[in-house]
Amino acid sequence: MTKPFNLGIFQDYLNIYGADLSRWPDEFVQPAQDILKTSKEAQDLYVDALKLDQLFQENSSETAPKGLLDKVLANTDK
Amino acid sequence: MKRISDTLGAFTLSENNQTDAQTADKASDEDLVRAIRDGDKHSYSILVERYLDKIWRLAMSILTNEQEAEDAVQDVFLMLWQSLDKWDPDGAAKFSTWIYRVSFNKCIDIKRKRRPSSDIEDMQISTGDKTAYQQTLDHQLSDKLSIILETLPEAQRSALLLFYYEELSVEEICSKLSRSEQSVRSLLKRGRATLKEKLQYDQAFQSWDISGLSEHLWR
Repeated sequence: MTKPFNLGIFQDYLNIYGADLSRWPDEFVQPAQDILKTSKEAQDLYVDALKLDQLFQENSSETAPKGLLDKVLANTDK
Repeated sequence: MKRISDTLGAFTLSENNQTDAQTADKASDEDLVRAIRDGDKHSYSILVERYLDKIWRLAMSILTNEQEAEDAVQDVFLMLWQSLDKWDPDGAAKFSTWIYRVSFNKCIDIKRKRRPSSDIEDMQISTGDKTAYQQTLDHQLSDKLSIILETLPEAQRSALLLFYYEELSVEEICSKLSRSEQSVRSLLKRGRATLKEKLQYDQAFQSWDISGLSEHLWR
């Protein structure tokens, strides 16, 4: 018999999959949404996980400026 | 001159450049490095393209200054071209670990040498809707994230970087790191737990208001 979804399991899954529920296993998405509607603790845990996701996203959205690749490759000819 | 296909042993004496390029694109970092040591510039360009954005992000997160980040990235890759013998493809350290460490040290070195006034100049540049103050807080958080990531065990850091920067699923990370699903879940869990623990006393992180992104889930 599977364990009932509770705050501990919610926290575990936040730590594994982050706050983006579309990256969670399908069977845990609805229970996660349900616990978020009723538990302030779950909401606080979720906000912390979302901040971490956002921090990574802000870091990862930057790409190197155009032209830098050419400069790097040209340096080998000097 | 050896091509990467020779190094891989898959297409020796191949005349087909496209096949060569496809083979090289899929080659491991270690195989590319072996080919670069034999003078293969094509392998070098593949390795640079593979790591350019990653090293750029690391440099920007530490230096928060585009010119300095450009200098750092160019120095790192030039050093890579000239001194690849400092890294052993058959040694214990992965190439990705090595290049991140070299880049991190380079950026810290540049930061130490910079003029005292340049941080103030950074604050005066404002782009988009963000104020200079908010940008500075963002940069501080990015700095902190980069530094904490550096302190994580290699496997935890790799799992998190693959999850966030490469947007791989847990199953894909298992395959990339040759680990079981349980092991990858554990790496992600412990890595995130450490990041959160180390950020919990950071004022900028704690006061960061992202309520607009989350409250729709419980209202």
